[in-house]
Amino acid sequence: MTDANDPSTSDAALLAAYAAGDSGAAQALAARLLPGVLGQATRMLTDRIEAEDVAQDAMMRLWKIAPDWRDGEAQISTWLYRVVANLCTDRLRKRQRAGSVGMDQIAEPADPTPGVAEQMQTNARMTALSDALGQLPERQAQAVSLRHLEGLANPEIAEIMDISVRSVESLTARGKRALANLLAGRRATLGYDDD
Amino acid sequence: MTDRDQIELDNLLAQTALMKPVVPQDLMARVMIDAEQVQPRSNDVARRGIWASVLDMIGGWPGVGGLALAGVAGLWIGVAPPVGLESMATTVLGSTQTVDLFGGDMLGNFADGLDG
Repeated sequence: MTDANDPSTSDAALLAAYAAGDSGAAQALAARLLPGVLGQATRMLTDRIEAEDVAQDAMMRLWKIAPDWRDGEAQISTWLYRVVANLCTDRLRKRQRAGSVGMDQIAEPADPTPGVAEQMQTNARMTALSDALGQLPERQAQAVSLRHLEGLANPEIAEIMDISVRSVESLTARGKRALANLLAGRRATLGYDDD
Repeated sequence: MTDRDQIELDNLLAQTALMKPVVPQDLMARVMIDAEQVQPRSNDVARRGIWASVLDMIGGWPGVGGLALAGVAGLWIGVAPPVGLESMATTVLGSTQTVDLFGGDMLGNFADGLDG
């Protein structure tokens, strides 16, 4: 019998218990995995509602794959990183097609209090970063976000993306150059010239 | 792209990496409702369990394919044995023996019975 509350119980064991009808296993698994899933989506999308939708969608895919999950083939955390990265790049693409709130359209802060204005500028910069990720080729955006937003090591990213470490290095380097160029064109609106 | 652009990007990435949202209770509730809705029922688990066990035993679907191929090949060899099979069997086994499964005149007797 799987002990859902035992921290040493593996994610795969909990998923198998869930598939066998143990609802306590689902609770334990969600408590373990959802914070990371939501965090990754939030950092890529910088939009709370969209990030929550992606997190719910990713977890739903996990529940659905549970009966077919084969322990030992992949880590659940690795699989989730891949799913969330794919869902986020899809969202970023759709955002681009729909016409994102570009930096020129972001209103000046209504409250001139320094703390509030500063926070709004930070938020605007993060939104600009997310939009710029959406303009990169999908694989570059995923590699950059996994490396620089999730802080993962290149071999781990290689496993998540199912590519070589050399390809990860190449994708992140090209992705970062492209991001810097995209954001450089928005220096004035992002307030960098005032710093 | 200047060094300054690169530094600003690094700072922005580092700042964004610090975002650690707390999971709202309503999101957790939605996720748990989803989990309950798609959780396999005990009948599904039992039914799948039997077939999954059988499949696992023979190596999954590739195993089923191999088994079918072996069956067809065996039948074919039985119906139309390749030339030299008998002599090879003699070499390996020492001698061959033909067994008439239907007995000496069984089919003839059966035909006679039908006639009359």
